[in-house]
Amino acid sequence: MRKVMCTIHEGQISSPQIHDLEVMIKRVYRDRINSEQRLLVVWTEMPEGQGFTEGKPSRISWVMVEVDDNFDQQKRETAMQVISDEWARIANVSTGNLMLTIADTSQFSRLAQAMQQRIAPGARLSFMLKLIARLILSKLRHGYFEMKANA
Amino acid sequence: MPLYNLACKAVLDNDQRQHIAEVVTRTHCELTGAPAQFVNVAFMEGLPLRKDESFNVVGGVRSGGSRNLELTENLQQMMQKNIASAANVSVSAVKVTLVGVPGNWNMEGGRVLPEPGAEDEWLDRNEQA
Repeated sequence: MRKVMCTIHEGQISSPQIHDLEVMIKRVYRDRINSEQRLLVVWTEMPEGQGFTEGKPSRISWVMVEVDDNFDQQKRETAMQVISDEWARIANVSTGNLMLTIADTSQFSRLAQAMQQRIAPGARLSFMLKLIARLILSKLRHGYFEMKANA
Repeated sequence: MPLYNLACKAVLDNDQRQHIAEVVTRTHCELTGAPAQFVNVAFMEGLPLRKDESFNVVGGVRSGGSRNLELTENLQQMMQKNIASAANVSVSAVKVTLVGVPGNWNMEGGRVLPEPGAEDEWLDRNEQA
């Protein structure tokens, strides 16, 4: 299973839009990247005032998509272009509101692992259980996996 | 890109976040020569970090081009030092991990990012487009 991590700002994208964005990402992944891999999309909602670009508060969304190692660069760029354009259309924002990365699984895992390992070992189990509970609850309520940036 | 994901134990106020975001942006640009508009900082607060850490920063940065191992190590050390100073904590209470990602794996503003060192040409081209 491959993963997609989407970080968005609270109140910026509505629940139906998130749903449509997820459908779009899964479709592009199936059509342009890999039709056989299952995809897990996780949304992280960040409170206002916690995101900055150029040293100023910003509302740019950050999306990272995991693909197989040595993924073809031409296919990567085409997929990025389609996701970027479709994201802007569905979320009703300019393409400047999205920073998108399509990363080989090795680099994706290094980033994901660094983020997981920063949680204190003694707190990791309870943190992960709480996180999983939140994700399941969100899936039941909204139809997609969502968590909060803050604990 | 870069995206600095900054986790901390405490809950910061707006001024603290603003100050730290400015310091991260300035440090990155001074050391790498990247334009400030590329630099993103996201805060995650109230996280149960390791006992000896107040801040844990994971940075996804562009690799290749004009960047070598020495520059990356220098960036990591300066980022640690400057964040500690901005947040008024000891240097050892800040951990910084940098992960290099090729520039052309990223898209911003609908355009594939350049390799480090090729930003001026990229910005010129985009201004003309």
